[in-house]
Amino acid sequence: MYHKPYVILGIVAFLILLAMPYWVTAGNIKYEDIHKELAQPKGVNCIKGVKWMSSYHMELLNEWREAAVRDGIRKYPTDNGVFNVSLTECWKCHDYENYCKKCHEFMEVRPVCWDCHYNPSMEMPTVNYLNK
Amino acid sequence: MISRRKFLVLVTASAATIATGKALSIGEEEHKSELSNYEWGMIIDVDKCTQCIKEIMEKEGIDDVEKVKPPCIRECDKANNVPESEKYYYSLIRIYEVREREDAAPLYFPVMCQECEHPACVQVCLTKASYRREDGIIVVDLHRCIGCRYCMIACPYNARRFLWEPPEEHLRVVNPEAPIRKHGVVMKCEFCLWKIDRERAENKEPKPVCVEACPHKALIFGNLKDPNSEVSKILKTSKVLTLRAYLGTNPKVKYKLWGD
Repeated sequence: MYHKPYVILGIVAFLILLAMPYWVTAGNIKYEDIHKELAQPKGVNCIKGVKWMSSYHMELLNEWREAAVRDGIRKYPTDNGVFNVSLTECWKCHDYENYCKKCHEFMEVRPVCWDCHYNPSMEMPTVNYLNK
Repeated sequence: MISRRKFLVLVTASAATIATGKALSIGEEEHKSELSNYEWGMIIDVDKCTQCIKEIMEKEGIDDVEKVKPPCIRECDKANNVPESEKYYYSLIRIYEVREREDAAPLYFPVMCQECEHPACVQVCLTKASYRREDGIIVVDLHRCIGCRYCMIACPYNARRFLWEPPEEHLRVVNPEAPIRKHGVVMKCEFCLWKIDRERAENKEPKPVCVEACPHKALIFGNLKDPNSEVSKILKTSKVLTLRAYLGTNPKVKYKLWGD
């Protein structure tokens, strides 16, 4: 091997740089679990399984958006029952402030839904046509 | 052995046949959903509307028809999250004064989106945010609307409104089922589609908010494809007016005049 000391020095420097996240934080990286801090939902069953919902609820909402606006589908039957295709369905069980918003903030996710849609933290009086 | 000339002719001819066949069959493919069983329409009894608006104008001492808020408009504003504004007219229904002659008594026509069969607004939409649903309702997909206002220029009925101001500052109550919207989009009457779609799924008789709010039963809403619905019966027995019929838009909102 040519220039053996330089090559080994280079490899060592590369490995040190690669491990930068560990030595910069001095081993303080730890796994934080937000799940315990979130408010418990009121209902028993979510629209689909809990695990699926926590990973893919945004995809479900996108699917709902297309279904409701383009195809006029406002009821969504699943194994757990029939659900209204509406964001209002979420906070029948979930607390917006202590569940949805808390987790979104923790994950640094900023959904644009609330630019145009109502959520309970807006503190505006509501009229309800659902139960009329 | 086939000649080179013949081979080329054969290959080109077969390619052309396949291409034409495919192009023709693409147009035929049309998926039909449950919505295709419906065609929503509305019939408005102008005599009753004129009566109602005259009464309100006399009672409240208003001269300007634009400032009159009959129950249908008030309820529509509330249900569809229409902001209240001094500066702009946002309500999705607008009342127009029409006279037979110059000196005749005025007739008041409530004009909302006419839900045209051949809508000009849909043709001009750049982002395909405005579209005609299979049941005939013209919907603005606000997720796509960029607020260019071409549709407002194209609409012959002046039925669309542009949201100039942030709506949340001008709302007194919110209907969580309908979008609040953001400023910079175009809104229109969609026959309360959030309500009628849900009621259709619940096997109720779907009715927009204005139809339910009208104390005089001047607005009649129903399925034009169902021969037994009230609207179909009225269309068969009474004379109805179509606004600006010469444009060929074929609106689904019709106006009934001069009693039965």
